[in-house]
Amino acid sequence: MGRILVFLAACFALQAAPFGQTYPLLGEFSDLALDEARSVVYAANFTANRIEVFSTATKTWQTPIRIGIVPSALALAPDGRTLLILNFGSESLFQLDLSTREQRPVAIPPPAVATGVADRPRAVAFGSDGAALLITTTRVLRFDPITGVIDELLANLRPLFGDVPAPQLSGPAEIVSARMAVSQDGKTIFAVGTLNPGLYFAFRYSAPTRDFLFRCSSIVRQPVTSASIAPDGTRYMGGHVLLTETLNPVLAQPQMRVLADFTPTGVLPIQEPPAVPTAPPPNTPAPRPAAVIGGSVFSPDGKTIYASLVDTPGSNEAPLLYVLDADNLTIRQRIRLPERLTGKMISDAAGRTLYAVSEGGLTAIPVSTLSAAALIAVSADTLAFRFDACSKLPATATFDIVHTGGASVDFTLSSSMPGLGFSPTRGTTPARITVSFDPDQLFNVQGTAVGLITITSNASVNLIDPVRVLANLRDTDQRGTVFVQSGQLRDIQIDERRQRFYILDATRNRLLVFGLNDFALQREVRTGHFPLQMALAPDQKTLLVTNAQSETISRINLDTLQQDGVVYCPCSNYPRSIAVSTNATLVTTAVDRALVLQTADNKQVTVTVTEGRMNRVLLDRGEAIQPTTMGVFQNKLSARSLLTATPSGARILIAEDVAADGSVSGVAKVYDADADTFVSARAISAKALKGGAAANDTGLYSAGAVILGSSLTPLAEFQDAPNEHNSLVFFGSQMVRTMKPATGSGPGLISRVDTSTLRSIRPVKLTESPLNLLGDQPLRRTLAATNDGRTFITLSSSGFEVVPGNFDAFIPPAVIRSVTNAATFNPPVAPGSLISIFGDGLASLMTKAGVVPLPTFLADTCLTVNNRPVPLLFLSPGQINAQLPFEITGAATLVVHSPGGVSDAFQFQVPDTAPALFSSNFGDQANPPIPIIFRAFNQEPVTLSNPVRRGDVLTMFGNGFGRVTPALASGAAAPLDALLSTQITPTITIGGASATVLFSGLAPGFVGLNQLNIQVPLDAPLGFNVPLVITAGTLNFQVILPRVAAVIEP
Amino acid sequence: MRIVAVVVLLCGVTSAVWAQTRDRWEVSGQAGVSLYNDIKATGTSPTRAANAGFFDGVAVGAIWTQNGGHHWGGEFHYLFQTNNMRLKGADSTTGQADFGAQSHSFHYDAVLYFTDREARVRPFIAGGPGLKVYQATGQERAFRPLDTIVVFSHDNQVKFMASGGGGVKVRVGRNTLLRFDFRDYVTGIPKGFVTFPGVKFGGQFHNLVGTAGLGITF
Repeated sequence: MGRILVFLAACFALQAAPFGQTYPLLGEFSDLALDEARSVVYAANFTANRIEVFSTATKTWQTPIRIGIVPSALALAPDGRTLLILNFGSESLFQLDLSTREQRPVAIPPPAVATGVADRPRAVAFGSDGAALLITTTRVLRFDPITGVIDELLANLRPLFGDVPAPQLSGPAEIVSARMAVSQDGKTIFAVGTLNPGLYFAFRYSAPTRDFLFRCSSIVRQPVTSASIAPDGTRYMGGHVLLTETLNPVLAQPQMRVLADFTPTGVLPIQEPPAVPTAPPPNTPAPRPAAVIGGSVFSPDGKTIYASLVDTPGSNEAPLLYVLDADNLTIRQRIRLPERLTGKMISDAAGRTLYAVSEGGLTAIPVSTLSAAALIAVSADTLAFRFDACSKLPATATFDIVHTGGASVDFTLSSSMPGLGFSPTRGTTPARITVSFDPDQLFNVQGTAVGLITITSNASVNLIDPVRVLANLRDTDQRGTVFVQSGQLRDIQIDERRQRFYILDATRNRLLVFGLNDFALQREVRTGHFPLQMALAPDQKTLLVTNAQSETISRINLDTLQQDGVVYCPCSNYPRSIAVSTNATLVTTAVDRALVLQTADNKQVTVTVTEGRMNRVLLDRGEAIQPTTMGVFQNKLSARSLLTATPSGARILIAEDVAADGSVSGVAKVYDADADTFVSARAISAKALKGGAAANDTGLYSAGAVILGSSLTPLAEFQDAPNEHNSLVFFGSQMVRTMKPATGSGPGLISRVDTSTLRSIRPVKLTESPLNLLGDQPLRRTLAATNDGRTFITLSSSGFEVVPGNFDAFIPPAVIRSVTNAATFNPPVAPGSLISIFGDGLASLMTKAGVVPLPTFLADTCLTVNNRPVPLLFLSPGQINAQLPFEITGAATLVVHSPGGVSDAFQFQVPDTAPALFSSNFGDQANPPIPIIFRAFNQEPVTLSNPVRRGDVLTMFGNGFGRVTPALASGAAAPLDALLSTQITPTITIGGASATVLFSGLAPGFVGLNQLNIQVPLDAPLGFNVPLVITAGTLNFQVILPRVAAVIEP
Repeated sequence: MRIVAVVVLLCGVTSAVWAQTRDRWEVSGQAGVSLYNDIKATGTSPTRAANAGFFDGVAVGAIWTQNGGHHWGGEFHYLFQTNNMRLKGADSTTGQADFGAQSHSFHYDAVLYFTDREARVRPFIAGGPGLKVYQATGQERAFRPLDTIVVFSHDNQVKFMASGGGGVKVRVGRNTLLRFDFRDYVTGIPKGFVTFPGVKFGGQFHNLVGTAGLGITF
């Protein structure tokens, strides 16, 4: 029965996209209360002066309760007998007996000291003590519904301002709106609201102890229309702000776009702060209308937040329900709703159904059936196409579109990327999409073109993330190996002590840990919301990560690779850039400040400006403090400043893109650890700074494109048109910098900087362009180097790019000496076989392919045989291991394209087969190589002490057995679920006795590796050194079995 | 009922025979320890050598004795031994390897007693031919220590065996005796030990077995 219900629910969900159902009713709802005992939702109809009653059982509106007042808020008593109703327009509230429907008004006693503001109720909630906490326009009260007594808990609103200086008030402070939420046990009440100066407040109230915890006020970025609380009372959501137990805010992203940086135009995930206005012109248009923010609800386990956040009212953006991680607001899913949610959202105790105020009435969202609803998932978030000097043929890749419940759901694909094709363009799930890319459409422009495949579906309830397509074209004159990494990568840091490097991903709020030797992802560590920059703490065991959308700095333990607490920044300070010196750890923060400006027609306009502040991190106290000044300088700087310390930690350079007063000139300041103060500040450029910042211990600094001397005197400014400076890094006394095209696409450049002339020397093209410098972070670290300068890593458009330290070294053309069978290091070689090429200068470094299908371009080197690209396994200056394409036979010509140029052609012959077995010498030099033959009996290699026995089944691994059926693409691994047999079946003899060939083909899961399974004949001769001969086609191959023994006796 | 009657009748007949040919036959069970010497396997290089042998083990067996005269007799022995095979590095070669093994020995010894048949204590010496079945039961592995000198092979082999030794029998009752035996069983190298080509064994295995047993005479 249960399965039938699930199936019916799934069918219903499949037919009902978007997700949820709206039950329309005329009026404006100001609040909701769920009465699970009576299976009804009470909705305060603000404009119709009544309480609407919605049956959760029949999903119908019942007879309303007429009350004759303007109901602004509701609260259901814990005993379920009384509903408190606040009267918006008077100093009173109403008690409604839900059994008798009897209404009783309760007058709110006037305050002892008159403030001149009418004391009207704004929010109410019941605590575990049976009393209601009541927020009025001027006070916080406690109402006992049994005795009818109202006590005054807070008569003064000053605590609501926290430690922020009270704003200039034209009159008494007034709470203009407030919302409250209660934890499951009723002990904790969370309140959030707006004060008339344009500030929001938040506090936590403990019902058993009647204690308040206040938090500082801040500028309301969005109006607060709802409050929610985790069931255990440890996290709170007020409007778009998630607050921790200590009431530290973790802002939600104003624009909730998961893949924002995937778009070629680089849509920013956070809004660029407006420039500081000087004076609004006459007839300034009114500020943008307040955004509409729906409510939020925590799941019963407290790990998930369901929230409706809309920051662009009136836009055509579909109404969405966001499914968020409750610790750092990482977006898990975006669910389409039938209409926009505009207010309170509540959930039943089991978390099965959400009820929310929406534009047309009440919307019910059955989140417990979400997993059975039409959710579409895509198997890949990125497809990467690589083209090079050896391979410019159209390439294909595939990805799958599936319905998570296994059902059939429609979808349509679209893309505007030139050269990109896919099939099918529409269909139903499950489906495998074949994507092709024609490199001719890149018009020989080197670098990486980025596009998107957009996936839409009429039936799916979730928004489907687009698939990012990367198409890279490179030649051998470009340097660097590109590693694909999705996400919005914000900072990079090398940790040589642990042979790792770290990258921050602001899309999924995580620290990515990579190995410095293999550049493979080792671990993901959760951070706070929107990690922006990082620095190694003085103990070298902790990584400090600034979370730009919260007031915290994450402490990542580098031994355990787990978040180990946070550092709290001052109220309303959002950390951005951080650097560690031998004396102080400094962090810049962004602070929003309200400016009330007067227009020419005497109208007041409030605008928000974002400013920067310098803070000092006190790690032992877990907090950052804000000094009043930066030494002799004012503590006010660009919020987009970038800090960087010298390697010894003696000084910290502060690079400001523009001056704090708004004038467009780059500024540099220096903090001296010895003097423990800011010792110098200088305007260094007439233009706004853009690029990285770096400092070394010899007294050289780099801020944007400007090189500075020890006294911050500009020594040089790079002029890179048509490129622009991207980042610079010091290693030892040397400098390397990157550049990217100022406009359009291209590969970008990397070059050394001559330390005497301070000019770029020997610039070399990169494989792809360094990462764009975003508007919200024009000063940004995108380049890192190892101390010895052997490896450079730059954030790039696909992810990151590793450039060897000898990127600009002179390399002679490759010289090919022989092409051999990889099993014997002797010719001949066969189609599809693994080959070893020996020569000089074949590659600039030693590396191996880390992916399958094998790449045809690796470490700046590629090969062609008869003009076909050759899949590469291993590269070194003296040897290349590769797979000869299956298509090659007869006369063949090999050419190596390396950083030194194009080699001379090397001629060789390719017979249909060239059988050989791989062997290994496990003993000392006196012993002959042992062929790689395994006994099926014990899965161990055949040796003298593990002899072949008559009747044994043997598995042999070899090379050069020729083409296979069905055909397989060169460079691809043999499938695991199907056997590919050689077109020519070899014959095997052991000591002259014929063995039975059980299988001859490709080893599943491997590229080009042949596998032979045979049964040893019962008449095989016994003894030592018995020859095993393999004959395939016209060629044969002999190995010596160390010993053949009789059938084993029991 | 009929069976009981037959058993009673047979016991009566047997007692009558005992009375006539007392102490002519003897059946004993024995248990003890089994030790082997090591045999050196040497290759072309003197530094490439190993000692092959067996770990110390347990021996259990049975003996059927015929006392033909006052000072002579004959015995048929069966002995089961649990000695795992062993390789140890010799000289500069290091490492040790082992392999599960056991053996079954069958031999006939001529026995010369130093006292009369009626004596309470009867020291004796014994010797004779026999067969020994070596069973190598371990799991073959591709790589073991010393496997470039000698390797183990999961094989059975019957080897001729020479037995020599002595002991003492002590009468403790009318028809019971205790016996203490010591034997040296000499065999060639079983094919459970396989030498690497060019490596040769020098010597033979001496299997020293000491047992204590309990016998009955009739």
